[in-house]
Amino acid sequence: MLSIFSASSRAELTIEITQGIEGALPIAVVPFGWQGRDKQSSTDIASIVSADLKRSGRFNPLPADNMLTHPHLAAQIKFRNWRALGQDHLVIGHIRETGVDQYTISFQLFDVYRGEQLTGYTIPSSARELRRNAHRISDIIYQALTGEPGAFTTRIAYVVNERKDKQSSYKLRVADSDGYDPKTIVTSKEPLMSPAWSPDARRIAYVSFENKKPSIFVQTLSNGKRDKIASYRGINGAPAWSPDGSQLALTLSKDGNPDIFVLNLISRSLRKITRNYAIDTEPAWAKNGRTIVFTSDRGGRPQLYSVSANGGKAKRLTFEGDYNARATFSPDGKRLAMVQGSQGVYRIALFDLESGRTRVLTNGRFDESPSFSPNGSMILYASQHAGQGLLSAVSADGRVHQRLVSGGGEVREPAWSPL
Amino acid sequence: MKSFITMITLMLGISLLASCGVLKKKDEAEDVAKSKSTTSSETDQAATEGLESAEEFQGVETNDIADGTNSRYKDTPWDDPQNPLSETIIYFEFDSSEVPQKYFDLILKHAEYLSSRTSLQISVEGHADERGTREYNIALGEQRADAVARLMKLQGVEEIQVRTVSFGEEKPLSFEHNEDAWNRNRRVEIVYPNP
Repeated sequence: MLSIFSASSRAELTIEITQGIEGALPIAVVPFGWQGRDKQSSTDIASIVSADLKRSGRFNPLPADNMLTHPHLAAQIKFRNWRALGQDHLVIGHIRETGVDQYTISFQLFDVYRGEQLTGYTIPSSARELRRNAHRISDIIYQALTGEPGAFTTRIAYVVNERKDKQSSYKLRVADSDGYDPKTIVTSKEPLMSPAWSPDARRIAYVSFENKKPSIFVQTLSNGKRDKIASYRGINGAPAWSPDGSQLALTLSKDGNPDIFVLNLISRSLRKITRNYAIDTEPAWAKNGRTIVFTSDRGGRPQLYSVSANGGKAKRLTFEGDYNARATFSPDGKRLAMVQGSQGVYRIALFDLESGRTRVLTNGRFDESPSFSPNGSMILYASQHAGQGLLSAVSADGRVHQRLVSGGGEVREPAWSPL
Repeated sequence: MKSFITMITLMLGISLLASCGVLKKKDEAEDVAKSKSTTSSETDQAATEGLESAEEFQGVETNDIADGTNSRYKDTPWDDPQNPLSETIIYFEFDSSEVPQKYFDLILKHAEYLSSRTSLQISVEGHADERGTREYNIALGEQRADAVARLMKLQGVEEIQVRTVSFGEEKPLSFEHNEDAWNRNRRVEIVYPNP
């Protein structure tokens, strides 16, 4: 049984920073002023921006309680007060109600030591869009201060298994990157797996065991339309989009054992790119669309290999550790995040494609399903805590660790949308 | 490569057993006994009913495993807890898709029952424990299901009678995170159709 419906607009996943933000930039985001007929909208823009910047691991926002003054106009700022609080940068702003369900958000970013404005914008917004616009403000501030694009308006997809009276209910959900506003896009009594965003972020491919056998579906987010694109005999799994969105690499075992195939979504032609008695699965496309990295146990235990997207001889990539699997490319294409198993402990590790070196980022014990943020700064992954499946995040340099606490159910298989 | 070697090993194993002429009944291993404790409440209820009928049929010799049991289970002997066919779970060693020898006898029983009823179709469902990545575990579960299905087909079960599917780590029997749970989750289940 399948159904598609929306959930309420509240946080299902809340973020707990569990380790270290030393070296993060101090910044004060002052609670925004409010001008309007009715009482203030419940969307606290300054809080959302603060939380976004903190979550990136690059900033250490000043708690609002530590602020002695709450300026919302430039003329109200006394920079020496903020220098005394050790803040490098200051964000002020206000929201003005301009009509029925119409607002104007204004904000300014200042360099505290020079006492100068760096940037500022006025953004019209409906009530429904306030949260999204707060994330846009975070993106602007993040880019202005780090030189890199922010990823705060992006979304995450993930699978939840809500078990009640020994009955499982599997759900595929899409939420904002801060966990807010989760929407269930598929519900099933049988497992759902391996969500994968199309490069234009308009569709999600996933594996569904409805009818008690695995098939691959591509679902359009705007209208919920589902397209069953692979339902061969045996395994249909691990869908991975080519960078131009025209092809899906998949795992099919219809020829006798799991191999990597590439399906052209337009012509629906299928080409086989690995031929081996071993298990070949978990394909990931390089950014140039010419190479596919995959997991294979042809050498005995799972390791990462690369092969031309047209097929041919596969080349082994990983030689450290007795288990390396489930590769995913960084947005710049230079590194892979993967699952590395060693003596029964499974951790997220980074593999540098140029140097061949591996760097372990997490502690395990059962960390899996890594997914890069679209600006490459963070890796979202599935982990366990107190026997419960949940999502965690680690900064790409390994410094900042976060845990996303779920409202309920076993959460796993996160997939971060593209920009 | 691993599955190829496994297949050859299994074929040798089966031919050895066949040439012996007698298949000795092996002692139930501890973890097979554990499988009985996970039967559903439906089977628990049936168990108490089955006890009365077992006494009735004590000492009856029969070749067909379905005969001589409670007539309540005539068409569904796998639901009869007194019937060896009610054992439908085969457990595997870590990272292995080799069917442990102690299950050969059980698989033979199922195969004999099926090969004489060629219109009966079963599902052979493979599983893995939670360790390692999910899609790789789907493949591991399939290897296990295939190993059991292959043994059955060697004993005369038709291809069309056996449908294999792997659920990987997605449908565990135990949701704990310890050796005991992992042992119980590394399994293949033989699933007969509902009446």
